[in-house]
Amino acid sequence: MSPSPAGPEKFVLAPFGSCLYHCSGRTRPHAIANARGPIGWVYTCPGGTVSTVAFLGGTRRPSPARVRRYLQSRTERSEHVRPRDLRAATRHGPELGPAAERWVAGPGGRQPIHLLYWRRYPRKMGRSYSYLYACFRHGAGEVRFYPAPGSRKVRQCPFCLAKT
Amino acid sequence: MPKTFPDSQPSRLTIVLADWCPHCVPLSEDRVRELGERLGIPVRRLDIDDTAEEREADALVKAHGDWSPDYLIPQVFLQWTDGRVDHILTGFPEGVSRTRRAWDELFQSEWVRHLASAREA
Repeated sequence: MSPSPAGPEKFVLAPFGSCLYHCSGRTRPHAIANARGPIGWVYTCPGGTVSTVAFLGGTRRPSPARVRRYLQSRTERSEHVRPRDLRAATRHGPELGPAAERWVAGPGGRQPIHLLYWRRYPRKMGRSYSYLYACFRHGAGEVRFYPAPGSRKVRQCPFCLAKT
Repeated sequence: MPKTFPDSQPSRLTIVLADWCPHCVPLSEDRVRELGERLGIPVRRLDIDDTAEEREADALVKAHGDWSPDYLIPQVFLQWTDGRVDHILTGFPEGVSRTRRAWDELFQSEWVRHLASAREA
């Protein structure tokens, strides 16, 4: 797992989640970042599929267009990142625990924390389903996404050709 | 964080949900009812699979909630006697267990305790 975040993002990072469409196993977050710092987490399940991707907007709403450009530039060309698969969420503080509640209510009347989630649902491919996978061998905080049939035991990242 | 105003009291909770959503039913539906009891206010349920209710849900989410073309559910709103509406919770796509924890935290929060004690006073 990635280093613990230091800013308000620490309140919204879920240490684990659950895979809804592939295996119902426990998902874990992988941090993604740009030059300015963390921008979110990719949650993958024990089978390697991407369950959801959470983008941090901080106290401003993340731009869906910008997030979509980011995703599309890191996703295999055959895969279309659909605008309707991006969904906004606001975290106000009380639902995140006492520390977050104090932080949001703190000096200067801080604003709620905004997130944008991406979920690429499994797609039927003949008799099996195509899931989304992620490769994290592209530098610190970087990720590449690619679809692959869930039935395939060994997968290959089309960007770096690494097999998993 | 949703603010409280001395001249206004909570008047209704609304949950936007769908029966097939595991974050919504039974988890959030039960918890919002419990919150309504704690605050002494009614709960309105808007099902996005019911055409008429979906229209209301869309308008509510667009005006006060986390709007996206295919928005997240559940979303919970608190209406006040002065007509204000506050969005208070959106489900966590990370997992149902995370949405459950959010409800637990909300119930233990200073904000809910303050609202509940103001009602009792």
